[in-house]
Amino acid sequence: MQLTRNKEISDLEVIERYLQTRDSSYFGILYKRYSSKVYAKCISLLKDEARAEDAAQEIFTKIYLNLAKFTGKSKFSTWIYSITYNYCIDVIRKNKKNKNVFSDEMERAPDIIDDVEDQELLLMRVDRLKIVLEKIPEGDKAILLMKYNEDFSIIEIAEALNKSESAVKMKIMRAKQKAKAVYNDLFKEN
Amino acid sequence: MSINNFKRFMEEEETRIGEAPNRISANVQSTTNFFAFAGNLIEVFLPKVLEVFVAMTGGSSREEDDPKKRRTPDNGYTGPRNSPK
Repeated sequence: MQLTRNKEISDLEVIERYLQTRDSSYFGILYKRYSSKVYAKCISLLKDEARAEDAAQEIFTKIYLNLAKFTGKSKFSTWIYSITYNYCIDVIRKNKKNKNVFSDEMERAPDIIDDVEDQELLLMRVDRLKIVLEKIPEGDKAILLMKYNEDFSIIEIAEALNKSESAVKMKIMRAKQKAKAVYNDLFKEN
Repeated sequence: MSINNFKRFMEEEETRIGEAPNRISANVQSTTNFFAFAGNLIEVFLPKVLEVFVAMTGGSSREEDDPKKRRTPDNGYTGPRNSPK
């Protein structure tokens, strides 16, 4: 793919120029900027290199075909990453027998749900956080990464997952609880 | 300001995994080239195909619908050049 060094041009300008000229080198700039991040997210969520490669390819094809629909309402990175998470969750769901990828789909909700403070998760040591994220359901991992790594708003997560805002709030709450429970099981001394 | 270890975790993952393989770039490029080619093909040939289809089903082409381009004596049309006298 022809790649042009145009670091000073914003994503939105690159998209506008691409749509005006249909010059594939502009799409190449976007690919160069985001391919390694998209690929890393795919590997992290799918845990398989071959599936991650296929997913990254499909995601960039989707981006190419829908570039004209990007309105600039959100950041381009947010748009790309929401396509990435949405696609990876679909792949995970298709490859699972029971099709459940979030805690709230797998387990019956407890009568009372204690909200876990954000700080409890944000201050987990990185090596421990990595283990915790490997142990919780893939959907929970994805939703926690969307919230705490990408800084997506509830509305943005809801759009990425095609869920209502209240459903997303519940999924985040259950994912935080699950992560805390796994952490306590593995690392809490008392 | 609090430390966000989710961001550190993902940064470490990106460093560990590195660049996306060139295979992905090559496949994405061939797919986008195909779509670009198909788009051009449709843009160039579809109007012609539709015109032929309209003509075959007894309709008139857009050119013939235009009164300025219609071949009439008012437009200076005097009939076929080699018509028998």
